[in-house]
Amino acid sequence: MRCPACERPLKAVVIRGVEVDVCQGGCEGIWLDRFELSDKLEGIRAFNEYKNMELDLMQAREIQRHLLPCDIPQVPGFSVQHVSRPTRQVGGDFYDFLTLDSGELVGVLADVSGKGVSSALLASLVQGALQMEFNSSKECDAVLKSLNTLLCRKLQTGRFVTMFAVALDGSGQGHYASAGHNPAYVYRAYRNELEELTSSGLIAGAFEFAQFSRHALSLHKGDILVVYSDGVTEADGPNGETFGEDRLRQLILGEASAGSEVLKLKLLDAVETFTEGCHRTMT
Amino acid sequence: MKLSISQSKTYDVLELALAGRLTLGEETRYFDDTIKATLADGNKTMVLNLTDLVYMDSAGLGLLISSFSAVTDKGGEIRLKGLNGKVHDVLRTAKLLTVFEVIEDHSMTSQTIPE
Repeated sequence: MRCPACERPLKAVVIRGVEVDVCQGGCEGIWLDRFELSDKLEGIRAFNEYKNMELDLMQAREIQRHLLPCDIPQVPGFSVQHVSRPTRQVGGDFYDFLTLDSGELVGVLADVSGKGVSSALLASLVQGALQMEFNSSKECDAVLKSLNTLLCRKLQTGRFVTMFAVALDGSGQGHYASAGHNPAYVYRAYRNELEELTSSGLIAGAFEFAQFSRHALSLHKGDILVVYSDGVTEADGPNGETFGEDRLRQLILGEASAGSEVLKLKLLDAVETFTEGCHRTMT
Repeated sequence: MKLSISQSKTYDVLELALAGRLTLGEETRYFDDTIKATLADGNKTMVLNLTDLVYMDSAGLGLLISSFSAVTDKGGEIRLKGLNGKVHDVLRTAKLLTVFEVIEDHSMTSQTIPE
């Protein structure tokens, strides 16, 4: 085939997946066969849409990253360690810390059902609602109850949130409440024992009738409270086995005496090793 | 492992036996479509046999909840049976064992459920 402009030979060249005819050694014009233009434009449009979507997701991830607290409240006597590792660009796990007017430190870990952008959007809603609720109440169970009412009205059926909330004063006295979240653990330093923090609270956002109870909690010198998402215990190993509660308990018992920072690093390392680097979203 | 659902009916009790994984995607859509179709057929009393369900993620759990709401909203009831280790743990952690009626005896057949 020859160039319609200068009659030099044309050569088929693929540029970014699109085949065109290029004039070789003449006017260097680029030519398309009849009716090919709409196909090529469609391909370019799809490519551009994909790139825009990728950009949107990256921006969403940045926004979500900034929703996580960058300044952890400094409360004398407490050392707070935290980590969140989403596997997708965005996800439904988040944690937050607040200091109430009373001086109490509140910590929350929540996990919105599902995956991806829809879960991330709901997580933002829940995080905002939690901050509002803790402005009017310092009781974790009352906050969960109000949040449940809100979510039951706002969420589509089948979406829900699991959550663990704890409020402690400067002396380590306080309480916790849970909405169907994995059990949290307290390492008791003076006995070198692990205590499981259970609760009867239902998942939030699914049933208006759900009730949430408050449980007293006291932390003493050297004690460590461990709160986590199911991404830790349900992390898959290569043979289909999950990391599980037993492994988590053993790890806490074995490493907690070295302090919370060491425990966090050891836990991350253990999950990384167990999953051979292919861990799920975990917080 | 994908999800498969087999159905059997005794009197007016429909038993749906789930096998495989109930996870976000094709599996949850299949389960949702099946529940909607059985409701449209006029079935109101259902037993979900989860003996061979090996895994359920949060999306699967959410669908179980929405099925519960869909069936009870129509005046029907939905019960669970054959809860194995992992599925039982998921339901226990979410405290859903207080919401769903669970038939503890795995050998119990749907015929024993009162009408």
